[in-house]
Amino acid sequence: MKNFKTAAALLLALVMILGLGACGKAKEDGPILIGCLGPLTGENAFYGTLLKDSVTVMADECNKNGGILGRQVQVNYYDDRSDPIEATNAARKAIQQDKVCCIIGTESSTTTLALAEVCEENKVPFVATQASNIKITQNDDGTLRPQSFRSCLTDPQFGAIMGQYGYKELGYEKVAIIYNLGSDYSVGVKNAFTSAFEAAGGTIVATEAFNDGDVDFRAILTKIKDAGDFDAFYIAVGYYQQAGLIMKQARELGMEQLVMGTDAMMVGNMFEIVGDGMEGTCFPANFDVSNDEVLDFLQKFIDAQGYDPFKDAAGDLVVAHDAWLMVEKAINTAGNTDPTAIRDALEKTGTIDILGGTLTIVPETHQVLRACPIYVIQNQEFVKLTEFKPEASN
Amino acid sequence: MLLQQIINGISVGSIYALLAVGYALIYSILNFTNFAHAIAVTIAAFSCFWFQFLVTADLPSGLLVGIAAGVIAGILIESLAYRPLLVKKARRLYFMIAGLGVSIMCENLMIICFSGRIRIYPAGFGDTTVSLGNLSIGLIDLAILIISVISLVCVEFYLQKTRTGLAIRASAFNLEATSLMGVDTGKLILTVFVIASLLAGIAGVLLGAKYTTYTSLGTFMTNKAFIAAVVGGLGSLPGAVIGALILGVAEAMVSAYVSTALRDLFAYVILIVVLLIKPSGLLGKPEGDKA
Repeated sequence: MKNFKTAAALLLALVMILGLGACGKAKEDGPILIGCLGPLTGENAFYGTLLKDSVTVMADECNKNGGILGRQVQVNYYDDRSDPIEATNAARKAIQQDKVCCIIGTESSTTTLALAEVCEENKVPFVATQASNIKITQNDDGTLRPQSFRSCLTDPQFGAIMGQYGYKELGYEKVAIIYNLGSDYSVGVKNAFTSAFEAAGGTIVATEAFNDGDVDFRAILTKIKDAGDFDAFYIAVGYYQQAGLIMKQARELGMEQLVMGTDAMMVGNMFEIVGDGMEGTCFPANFDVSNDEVLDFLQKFIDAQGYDPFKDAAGDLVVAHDAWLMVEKAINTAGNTDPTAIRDALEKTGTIDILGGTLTIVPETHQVLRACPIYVIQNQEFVKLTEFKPEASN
Repeated sequence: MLLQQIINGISVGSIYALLAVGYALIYSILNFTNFAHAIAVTIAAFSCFWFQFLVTADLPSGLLVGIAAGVIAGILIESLAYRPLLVKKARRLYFMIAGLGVSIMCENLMIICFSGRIRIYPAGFGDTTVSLGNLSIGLIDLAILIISVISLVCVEFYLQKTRTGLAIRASAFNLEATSLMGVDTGKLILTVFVIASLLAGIAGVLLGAKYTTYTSLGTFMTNKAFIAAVVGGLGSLPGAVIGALILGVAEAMVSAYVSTALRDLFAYVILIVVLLIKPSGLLGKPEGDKA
């Protein structure tokens, strides 16, 4: 009897060991796990859902075409509720528990900085989509954050492009700036715009700030009106509601100056807030809205998800698409799902084709170089004026 | 510029006034601050939007539907959140906690139901402005000012000239004694909530038209209105109006001549100074136990 027990125990152990082997094997052949972080609930849920839906469209198409490295791809979605603490928790869960090989997201600079901390600590790379703050990929002293990548342009790139373009091409000499004191994004583009515009030869006649959550801007607008003549506004804000209300209230106060803005203005909803008061507004963006590839993908998205994201924020769709391409190429180059190998591959991305153009990763800074079209609003349509090619900088 | 800034301030202040009077009214009778006030504002704005969006893009009927929704929200809050506490004779602190809970819960529910998207009334006030020399006033600001003044005058008239108004004033003096005099205080409290949420509803639909409709619309505005109500003297209706106008104009002045960054700080400094010098507020009853 005793012998039988020993034999049974040995047999059981053998089965378990074989089982473990099967586990490991399943992992090699099983789906590739990618994490995607975004605000799926809470105030910014719209943006997070758009990111999720865009990535889903990409992942489905990728799987239909045979997946990556011959394996299917599975994307796990995590909710950060636009809260850095939630982002930290979600990232920990994705990396430590679910063992994703890399992460796409998240949506805002503040939550992405939290995500970056976790990724740097655990040595798993991520590609941010809409987080344009310079600190995402570089520390304050300019050193690189090795795991941190993104697919969009940065605040300084946007601000500098608009500053140069405003003076040289649009012929504005005196500009009044309005920005949001409580937003890193807004302060970032404002600073970059100011230095670029002044370096080009322009004068800033007034710089006025407002606070997060403000909806009435007439006090600062009246102050600007009193500061003397100027040619145009530069409205450096990250959310279109504020940009729209500023313009609307400026027009109500009889201020007819044209506006230069940020990529946050590429939103159809703004017309409903401002109406014709937006005519002549110029702003830079991450993508070319008139490009056929972009429109094709937009249509593909609408077919798959059943809604048109353009009214609220089409830009998120394009940068999510491009982030997916970066990740897909990196895993293919790495040849396996080791996070370190993927990170190295991401850094060596070089130049890839994206929707309507190319995207280059600068290995030293992880900066993104992609075409930056400038739009003007005419008859409530976004009309492309020109296209900038940002250059690598420190 | 000074005159334009005063106009800017009064236009913001008149909205604060509508909301502050709602706080003051409930405080005067029940001795607690209704922190769920904000949600009636947001519900009114959203109802106006949805009515215009789904039924007919007409401004006046949208405003009325929105206001009605605000009132219904007020009645529901009173009967579901506060009445059970009143029946149990709970301490006033629990009323405030219940109010906060209702407010946070409803705001999150609205985010879940409607997402955090910004809505714009299909039919708003347009962007017509009235110009007087160098000054310009938006049509919507004029509308807000006129509607606010009319509603506040009506409420004051109701309180001073009707029997229910008399009962409300009596219960503001002493709720228990009023009840002993044969007044149905339960009904009275409900009436007070209806009036307060009527004002919140009016403020809500107008705010939605002016600043777009979004889920934290009410919370943002009622914080300021609460300061105004405390500065004016919690429980005092004229005090609430004066506090609101002072706050609106002071904010405009600070933004114009000092810095926007200091504006909110300034609002709270006013609050602290008033509480230090005259804890009952500018026109409040000199009672020690109001919190």
